[in-house]
Amino acid sequence: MPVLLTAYLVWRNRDPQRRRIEIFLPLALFFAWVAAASLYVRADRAAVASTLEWFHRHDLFWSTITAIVSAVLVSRRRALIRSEAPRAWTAVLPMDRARARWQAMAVESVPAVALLGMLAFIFGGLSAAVFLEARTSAPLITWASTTCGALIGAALSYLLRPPRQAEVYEDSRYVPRRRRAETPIPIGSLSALGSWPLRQMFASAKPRTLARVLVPILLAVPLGSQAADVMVTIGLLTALGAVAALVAAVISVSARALRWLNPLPLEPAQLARRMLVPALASMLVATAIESWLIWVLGSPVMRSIAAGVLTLTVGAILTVFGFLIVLRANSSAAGGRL
Amino acid sequence: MADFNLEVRNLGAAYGRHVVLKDVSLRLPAGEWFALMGPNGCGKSTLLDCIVGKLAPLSGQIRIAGHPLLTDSANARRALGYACAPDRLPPLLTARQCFEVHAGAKGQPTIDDTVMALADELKFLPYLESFVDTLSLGTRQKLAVLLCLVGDPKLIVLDEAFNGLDPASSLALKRHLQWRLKNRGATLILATHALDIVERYADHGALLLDGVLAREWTKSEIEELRRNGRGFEAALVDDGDANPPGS
Repeated sequence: MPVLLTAYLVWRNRDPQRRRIEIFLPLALFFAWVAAASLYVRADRAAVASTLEWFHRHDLFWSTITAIVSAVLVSRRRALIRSEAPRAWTAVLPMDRARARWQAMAVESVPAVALLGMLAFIFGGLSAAVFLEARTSAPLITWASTTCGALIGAALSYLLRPPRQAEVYEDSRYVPRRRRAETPIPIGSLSALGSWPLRQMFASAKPRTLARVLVPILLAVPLGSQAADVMVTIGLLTALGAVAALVAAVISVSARALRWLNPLPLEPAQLARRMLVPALASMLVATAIESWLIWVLGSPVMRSIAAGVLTLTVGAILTVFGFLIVLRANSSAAGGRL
Repeated sequence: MADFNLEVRNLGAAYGRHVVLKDVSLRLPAGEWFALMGPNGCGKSTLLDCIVGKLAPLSGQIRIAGHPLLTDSANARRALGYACAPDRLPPLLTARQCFEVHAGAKGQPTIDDTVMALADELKFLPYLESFVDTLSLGTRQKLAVLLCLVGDPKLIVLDEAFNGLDPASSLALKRHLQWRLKNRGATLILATHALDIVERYADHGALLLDGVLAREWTKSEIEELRRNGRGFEAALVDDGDANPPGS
């Protein structure tokens, strides 16, 4: 059984510690799940019974979902393994076709087996806990129907056509081709300069940076606060952060734009108008949101508007002065010209 | 109509107290491929920076297509095409937006057909909607060169522009530049270390050593070097021995 044996040996030759984890972790999780389910059933038998009843009423839906998941997983693995099979070392071994086919099917259907194991894990533990406490067989019926769904899905996946392999991707630069007739010719316009600072602002909002900013805010929220207040506060700080990020983005982008566009016949006023107007308009939107959120938090309307206007004024002054300083630095390097 | 697309007179430039260029003078007529050579740090890029207006000269005058760079900057720049270094391109704009900005700045309603044809020849069109940040170095180099040709410039300034280009693209670009010099009356100034390009394509060459033009080769001298097989490598080494840097 070369194919199955190879799969087993690959698993067997793994790091022993990792192999132990692969065996013992599911078992430990299973027993923990049984214990937790038992405790929950004992604590609130009525709620558990109604939940199980709800699951039982939708058995057909859950088995259909399981069938689709199983079919997709098995089909994807089949496509992957069949694309790798001609390059595998087992491809050169003398095997009769029938044996090679059933061994390949066994390897390809591993996702369905894993799905069955997962269902057994969830419903087995639940059934045991419920049977001990509530003497109902509803989870057993749901388990049986979803298991049937997984098996039917795995079988149906063999009816799906595997995806065709592409040797060279469509836009490969090594494939000669004629110019596409539909390529529209670029039209002269400076409007793209306005979108650059906004893109820079979003580019600077990296998930890690946002997480680092968000954690201290969440820690600073006093105990007993309502979730809605916390959400509004985070929204308010996001609006303020967007204004700050936009100021920084305009300054850094204008420095880069001036270096890039220096040899072009572009007036500084033209560049300023194209770059600053969209940024200031975005700042206006952010500060309007800020005012609204301050009002939502319970401040009077006039005070909320005043806070927004103050932020807009400070942001606009910093943006314009930052741009002018960058312009002056570039201009002096180029002998008084842009 | 100006006789010369580039006139540089007694140009001097410095970074702080460090003088880089001393009394450099050049006159390049229309249709000429001029190659600027010299060792690293001799002032080639500084000379180009002065010509394209990125660096203010200490002394001297620069005229592009008859327009003084200092007093008639807008017209001088309109006649100028400069391929910036690939890392100077805006990372968060698409290639199409770069073209739009260049055309907009030069007052062009659209991109010239010849530039689009070259973009097609360089296999650049599939990248038109890609962000500059996602392009490879060679593709960015192509974009920089294509942008410099927007607006039919009279003076084309390229600083090591063939670096990073694949051989087919490099050849297509050289042929296009030759066509542009012949049919559009443009002048090309190319700073390069690639002596084979100088031997094969240049009409006029100069060696910059320690901020001064130490040696110039006319078209007939370059043809003579090409004919006798001695080549620029030997010629440059001889000149370098005669005028070692720092002597």
